[in-house]
Amino acid sequence: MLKTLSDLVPNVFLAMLLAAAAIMAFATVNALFLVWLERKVSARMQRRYGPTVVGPFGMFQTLVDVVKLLSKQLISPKDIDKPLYHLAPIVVFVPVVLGLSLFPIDKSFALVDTNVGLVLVFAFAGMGFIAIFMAGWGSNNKYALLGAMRAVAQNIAYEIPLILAALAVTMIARSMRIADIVEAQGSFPYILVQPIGALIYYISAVAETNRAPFDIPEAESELVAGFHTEYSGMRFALFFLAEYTNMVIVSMVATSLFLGGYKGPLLPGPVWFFGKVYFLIFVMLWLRWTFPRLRFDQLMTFAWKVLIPLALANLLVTATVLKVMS
Amino acid sequence: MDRRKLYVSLLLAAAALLLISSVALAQAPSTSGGVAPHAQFYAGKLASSKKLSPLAMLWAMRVLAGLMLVGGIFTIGSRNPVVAALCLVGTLFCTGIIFLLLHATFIAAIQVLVYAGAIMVLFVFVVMSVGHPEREEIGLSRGIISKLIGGAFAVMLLLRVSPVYMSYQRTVNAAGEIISKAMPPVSSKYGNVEHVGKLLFSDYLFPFEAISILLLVAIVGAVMVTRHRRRDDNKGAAAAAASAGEG
Repeated sequence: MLKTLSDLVPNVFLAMLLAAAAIMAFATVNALFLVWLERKVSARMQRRYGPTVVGPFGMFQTLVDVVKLLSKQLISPKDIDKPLYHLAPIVVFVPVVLGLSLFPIDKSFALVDTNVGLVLVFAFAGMGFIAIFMAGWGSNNKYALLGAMRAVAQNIAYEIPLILAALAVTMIARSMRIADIVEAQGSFPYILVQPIGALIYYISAVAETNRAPFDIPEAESELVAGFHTEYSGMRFALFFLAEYTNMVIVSMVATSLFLGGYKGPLLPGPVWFFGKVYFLIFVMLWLRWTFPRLRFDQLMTFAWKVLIPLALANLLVTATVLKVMS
Repeated sequence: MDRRKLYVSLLLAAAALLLISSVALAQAPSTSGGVAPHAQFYAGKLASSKKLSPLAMLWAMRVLAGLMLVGGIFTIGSRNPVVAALCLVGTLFCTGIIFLLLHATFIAAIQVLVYAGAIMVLFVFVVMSVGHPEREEIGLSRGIISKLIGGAFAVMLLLRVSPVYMSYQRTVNAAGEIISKAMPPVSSKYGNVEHVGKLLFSDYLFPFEAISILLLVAIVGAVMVTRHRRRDDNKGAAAAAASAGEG
């Protein structure tokens, strides 16, 4: 039986506070670890060492960086749209916190368990664009605005194949509750049933997190740093934190939908769950440091003319097979 | 600016009117069977929460409704299109949370996904493409006809909403306890995926398919319009070049 936080803590408000604190702590520690991992992986791929000085294997380098970022002056440019500019780094964090709470990490535990968990994850992920838009518009900077426009266009395009791929899985599992989908994957994960769907989902997920090779919203060589060009110090760090947490969320969805979530032999559920999640994240790092950035028109053409028709065909075939078999 | 203030005060006046009249209606002696079934339904839904007490639900509802009202006023009252768009996001998000309070989880999720997510992305994209707020301010001049239409809609809304408020007043006392047995708690299946799906593909099959076709027509139409314009541009450019050559 799946237990949720509200079963363990009867007081609603206390449960909410506890969940928020746990998620924030996880997001922070995770980002510290992932930034270090990203540096190490990129260094390895470029035949360098990466951080080595602070702590074992340079692991505390990001911690020191956070201290640096905290002590930096916060610079606000002239003629900004004040409420939008100052709210954006906070708003970027809201959907991330909401989204992280929805996944069952073990057979018996999830923070929140709802029968529309999958739709909610996508709903919250879709809200993320608002912060990017606020940052890009509020900064009063043409590079920031261009970056935000690109982000929004990309968001529209890649959300469609993402959801279509997930829809095929819900059709097979006959549920939108994430725990049910994981349970429905009996002895074999859905990546074997839905290989094309899994591939479409993963590509779109990388694009949704705005990471290379789909990182045109913040393409350094064209747009300085895209929508967060004008943010300094801890404000910039919050965008960074949200980006790394978003990677975790899309990987958690992929793990739950296609890799059987917490299921696996011998080891306990959470170990399998987080192991799969971090493996998928490692693949994202790998992609980033292997492929060059796509051009904007290539990116849009790929989404609209390749991924979406493929996802629709996948959905159609899945529906037909399900109808014939039942 | 004056006009904007006028608009905001008009809206506030309308809201106040709505509230006062609904309270007044609620004070009136109740006649049995006078309440529309949907009103009973929502009131029963509001009163039958599992985790929050009815009083907490009522206050959550009030706060959310207030936020929605403020968001709505700024959406149509703000001269900055970006602020208007973001206020609309806030309003739609609050609507989603109200659906959640009513246990319609699927509808809440779809509300946030489709309206606050996808459709707002398009709005925002148009706003960003159109230009900067210093140059592009939204005009607020409206004719007498649109005011009349707006007023008519306000009255219709009032007539629709006040029975809900009334029935809620009669269901729940000041301490938030259910005092009437006329409104039994609604089945917990209401608003979840299976329920919505079954309704869509049985009772509402025809409207559902009709809307699908309507959307398809709209998409094809949008593509046709943009294509047509591009061809015209080419023609115009060719004609201009030809006349320039003749000249």
